Amino acid sequence: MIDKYEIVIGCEIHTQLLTKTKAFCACENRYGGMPDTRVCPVCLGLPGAMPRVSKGYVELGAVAGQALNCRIARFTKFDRKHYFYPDLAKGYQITQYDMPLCTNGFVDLPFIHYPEEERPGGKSFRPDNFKGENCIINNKYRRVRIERIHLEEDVGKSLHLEGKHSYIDYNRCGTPLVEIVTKPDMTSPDEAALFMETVQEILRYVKVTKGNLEEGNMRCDANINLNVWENGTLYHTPISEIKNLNSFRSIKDACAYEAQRQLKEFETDRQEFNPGFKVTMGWDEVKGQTVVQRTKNSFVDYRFVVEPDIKPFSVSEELIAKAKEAVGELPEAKRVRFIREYSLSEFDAETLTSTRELSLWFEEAVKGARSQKRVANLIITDLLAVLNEKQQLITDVKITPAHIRGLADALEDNKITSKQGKVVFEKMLATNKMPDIIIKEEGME
Amino acid sequence: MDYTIKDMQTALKDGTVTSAALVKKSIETFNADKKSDLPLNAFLEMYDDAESKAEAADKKIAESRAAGTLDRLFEEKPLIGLPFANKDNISAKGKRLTCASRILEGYVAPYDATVITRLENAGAIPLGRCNQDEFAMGSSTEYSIYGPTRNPINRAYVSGGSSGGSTAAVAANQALFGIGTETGGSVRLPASYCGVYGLKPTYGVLSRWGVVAYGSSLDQVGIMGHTPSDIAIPLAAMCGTDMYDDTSAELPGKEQLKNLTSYRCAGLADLKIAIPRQFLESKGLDADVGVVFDGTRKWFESKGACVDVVDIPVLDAAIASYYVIALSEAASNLSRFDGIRYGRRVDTGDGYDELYVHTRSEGFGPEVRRRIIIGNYVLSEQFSGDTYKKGMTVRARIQREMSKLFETYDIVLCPTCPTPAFRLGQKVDDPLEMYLSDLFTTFVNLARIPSVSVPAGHTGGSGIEAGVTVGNAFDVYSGTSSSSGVMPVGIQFAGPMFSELKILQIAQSWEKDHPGCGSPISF
Repeated sequence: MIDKYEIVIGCEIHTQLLTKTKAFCACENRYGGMPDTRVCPVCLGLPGAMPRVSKGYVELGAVAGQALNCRIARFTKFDRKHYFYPDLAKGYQITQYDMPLCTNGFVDLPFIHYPEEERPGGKSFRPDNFKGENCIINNKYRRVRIERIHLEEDVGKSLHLEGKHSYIDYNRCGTPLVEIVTKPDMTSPDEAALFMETVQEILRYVKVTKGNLEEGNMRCDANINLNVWENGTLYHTPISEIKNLNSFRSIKDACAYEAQRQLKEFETDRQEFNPGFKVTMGWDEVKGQTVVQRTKNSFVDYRFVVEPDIKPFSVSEELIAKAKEAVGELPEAKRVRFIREYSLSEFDAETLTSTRELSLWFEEAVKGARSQKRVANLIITDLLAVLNEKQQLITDVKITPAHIRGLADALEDNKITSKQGKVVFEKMLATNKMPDIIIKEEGME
Repeated sequence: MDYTIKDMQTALKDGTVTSAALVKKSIETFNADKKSDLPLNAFLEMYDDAESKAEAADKKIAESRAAGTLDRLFEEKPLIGLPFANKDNISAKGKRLTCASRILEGYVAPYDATVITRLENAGAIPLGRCNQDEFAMGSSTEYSIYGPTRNPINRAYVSGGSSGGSTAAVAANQALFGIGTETGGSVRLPASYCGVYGLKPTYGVLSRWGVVAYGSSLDQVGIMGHTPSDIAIPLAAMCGTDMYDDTSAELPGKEQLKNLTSYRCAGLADLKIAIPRQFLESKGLDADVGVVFDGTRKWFESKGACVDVVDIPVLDAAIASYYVIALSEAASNLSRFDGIRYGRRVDTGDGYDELYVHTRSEGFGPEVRRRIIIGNYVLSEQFSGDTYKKGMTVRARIQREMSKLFETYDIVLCPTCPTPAFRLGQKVDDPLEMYLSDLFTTFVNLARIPSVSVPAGHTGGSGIEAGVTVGNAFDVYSGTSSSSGVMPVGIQFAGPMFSELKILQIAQSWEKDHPGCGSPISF
């Protein structure tokens, strides 16, 4: 009889970087296009072609590392990972094996409080030796440790038509990626989904990635198993690796399903965790089930070698410092500050910090304004509504933060009524004129 | 008028010879030879635009002559109008490239290798692609789907490999100079067997962009020619960093290479020369090669150089270290050949695993398959333990010892190969025996240093004693084999990294005293 159990999840996120060109060649780093048009001798693996590290690749990798609190290596290299598959043009992937660019980082997730009855797995307890791991910071955040972040190139895209042909599109082959690997610090499907969301937000903020899950800019694999207590003895179930989860929803659902499945399987099979043994699974969204893809017995021999065509290189202190500077204030810290400095609600703070550009725009608008709340309201209720309707971003807007401030002040001073305010707002967007001018012209004084 | 770059430059300037005539002669010789009983099989194909490029060069020369800017033209384009032999693993845009392998059937390179671009910028004319061992894996040019390249001096013998084709083409005067590639001696060895000069430069000096990779940390483009100057001028045109090759490097002394003089113009009295005892006392060393080597050594001593025999025990492990590293890198580099994007695909319709198995098993020849399997075995820690690491450790040791050696000595002197050219078919069924041909060449590639094979002499035969060469010492065997077996012997001068100028100048001193030794067959 199982007393209690605990879910253990580690994540691997692959995310495409916003460099101008592919990782090791001059092809444009862009999504889409006619298949096999953004290719060249290097990313196609033609005889005699050689890789060259693209400008900005290492720099963006370091920014990602700094944004996730990692240590950046002072000296690093690339390696070759060999396996045969049609979408891997060279028969090996250029990656980093034993000297990754970043190590030992962390991300703090807003801690999800479960009332005891709702805790996944029932009343679980943490023995003393778990105190060091899975730590909770300030009783507010779950710290998920990042084991490593390394640079590697993406592979092509294959399309299999059952019973007919496979088609390969090499446009994506050679796209620069970082792979982020966590320690198994997450304890629930919610946390896993939240982790992905948080990393997406952070990396978008620091302009490392577009982070678009639908385009495949970001892909997540979840490694999940259970700690099960039975009659006081602790058992571990075998690890399942669920690959290519491409929405927050599917991460949550897949992990939840797999946890229950492992529990049932353990009750019947009693198979235990084995260091060399990992089951690879996919998530069938339609059926709502995990599906076994292959079992990995022992390790797969990738025959790693140092990439001989790219000299191992130093990472300068200057590069590392520049990367830190590029990170700036991260979203969660900004939210906390906005709530404190501008007396905003959690919801308002979240909205105004959804992108770095918007947060900067708001802070500019609020400078010297008579009512911060009014400025916030104008932006959230009126401006963002218009932007959402037109499917635009704050960077597309023609008016300046001073416009909003002017209007907010006018309303605060009771110069105009709120009804008139709406008119001024519309005219302002249409003509770009400052609110005082519009108020004068409309004779609203 | 000799068939050398200097003489041809003068002839073109004078108008005594035209580029079109040179190219035509090469093509005619090639076509005639193709029909003979024992064809050389050096060139696989003559490029169809060689003649038009030659005519364009002639036009430019004529225009310059009329405008009085001839000297400037030859300054800017020192190789203008001069035809050279390319190897079947160096990309030329729009031309077929097969690496003498079935798996690259039909592949046409869509871009130029940097060395080709730079040679053409200097005015040179790519004449055609030459035969080689498949994927540069071999020492005799017998592992080729096109059949072997015969030695122009005696067609019953091998030309050496893997760059046998371009070397034989140069020796047989089908091209003025040639380029090939080296991983473990594949330019110096055929140069030694065919009686011409052959240089492997410092690793990185010639860009590898466009050169099909075999052992990436060892590969270098090499040059063959009739005189040291014929090597120095193309070297100057091609060398230097290339943005497409991260491992490329600058070569100091480039300017002086364009006008190669003898070493210090005076004697060689300040030279300190090291002979590795391990090679001198090697069991595989052919007696006649030993005689020629003695002659070379005596020549240096007569010039006042100090010659020492030095103990370098790690050199005994060089060839093993070479094969461990080269084959591992080869297995990796040849992973891309799957017939999916280019080349010959064998799809039985049973899925992609089968596609890989059939395409590669049928596309690669037996020697290539051997090396890939061994390479993968070495890289699988599971099976081979730390073999790869051991190979790398030996290599590091060789590099260290050579560095230390060159603190005291100027060059290392030793035979290029333990034997002269052997008969066709003699070693082809004994891979290990074939590998031992590289006994004296691999340490150079492992240490990344430059080395030039100098045509120093010939072996003995019916009535002739082995000895040092003075002038053209070989009869021309036009398509018949002879049992006299008098074959060339090469000796190599190896120097520290980036010492190309020095070793070529020393070679030029040798050439001065032995004029024409690199032209085994009269033009």
